[in-house]
Amino acid sequence: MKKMRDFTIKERKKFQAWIRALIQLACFIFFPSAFTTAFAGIKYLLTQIGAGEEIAWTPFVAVLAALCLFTILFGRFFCGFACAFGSLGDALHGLYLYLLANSKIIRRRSRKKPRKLPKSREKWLGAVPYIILAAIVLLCFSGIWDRISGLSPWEAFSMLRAGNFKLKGHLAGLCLLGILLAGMCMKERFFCRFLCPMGAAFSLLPVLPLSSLGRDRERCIPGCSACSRSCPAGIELPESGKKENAYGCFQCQKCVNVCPKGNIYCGIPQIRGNEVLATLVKTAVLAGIFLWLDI
Amino acid sequence: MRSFWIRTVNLAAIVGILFTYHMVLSIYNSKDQVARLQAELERVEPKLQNDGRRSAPAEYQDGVYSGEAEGFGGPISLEVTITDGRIADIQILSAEGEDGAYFSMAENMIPTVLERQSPEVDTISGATFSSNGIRNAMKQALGKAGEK
Repeated sequence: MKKMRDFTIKERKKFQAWIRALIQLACFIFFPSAFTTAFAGIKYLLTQIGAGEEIAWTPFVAVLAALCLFTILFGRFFCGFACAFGSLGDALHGLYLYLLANSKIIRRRSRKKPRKLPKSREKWLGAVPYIILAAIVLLCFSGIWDRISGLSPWEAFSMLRAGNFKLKGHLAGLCLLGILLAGMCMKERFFCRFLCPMGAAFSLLPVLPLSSLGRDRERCIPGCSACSRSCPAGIELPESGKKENAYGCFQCQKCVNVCPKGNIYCGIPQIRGNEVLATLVKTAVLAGIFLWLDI
Repeated sequence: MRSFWIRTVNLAAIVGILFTYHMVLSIYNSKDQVARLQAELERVEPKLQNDGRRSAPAEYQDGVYSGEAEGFGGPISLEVTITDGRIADIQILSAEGEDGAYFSMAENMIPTVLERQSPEVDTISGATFSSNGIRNAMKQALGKAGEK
């Protein structure tokens, strides 16, 4: 069987990008509300407890539990491939890159690549999702959230997506959505890394080392850092022996395909070079969960 | 590996707290419900002996009535069946534009409506659009059934 690493880097990257885009598109079309449903599970639990009401195994809780279990097994694959909001951001960012490369109007100061944030700033911005998660949890607990849900950019997004244009009470959410989309456009996965409360919940979970990526550091080309530069989550991959997970990883597999030496592999070394198989298996499991729970 | 175990303990603690909360509250609530039902029974029993009929007065005309209202992503249509002047059954006919999980949350209103014999029940928090759709469609159907 021909292995992925027998192809050139360019072919691998292209193949990987197409597979990912296809999965993202399919998930956007068929399961667009998965991410808000899972988050509604968190909000439901906290709202009920705050009000002293009973908590039950509702559809929201079921989706939340299923996605958390999936994340424990396979990492934040949902974020990288199935989240409709992340996919929309990726599409916008792709469009932005295309325009930067091809349009004279947008390309100013001969800049061909998007600007980068300094590392130090990225570090403290990475804590913001946890703050947002904590704030929403507290608002739900105190019963205030239901009254201010017009602020939610996700609700505005879901309404637009469902073709519901009665956005009167959702102007604030709509404005926030605009800002977020602009951010996602300029910087890949801007929202997911620096704002997303659902992602924060996922990255608090213990992730089994099955899918966690690592690299054979001693085989690296000195000063290469192609993997770090390709990573939308800004992760410096750990040495593979260490089994320490990078909890911010969305499992996008870009680093695996960009490595000129094929040095990066996941927790199952047997499939090394064919990590795309793991991606397909994870997609099938996730689709099975979605169909079963009727999202 | 250390952070993995810390996270595992955290997760176990959260699940444990939720589970305990659920258990404690359901025991508490079931006791509460028994007391409530007993009180209701004592209130209703004399009336039953008086006229041999159920306590709630007939409010609607018998028949099957349909109603439709805007939900989250489109119209929700349903059918309300009235027997002996009471709301006996509510069937969802179609809800194409709704998201699965949200709509099944909103459907939890229906047992409450049947119990209270009124469409004026609280919407389900987190599934407000679908709940409002179901409620408005019920109101429309019950409007056709006409209050006597």
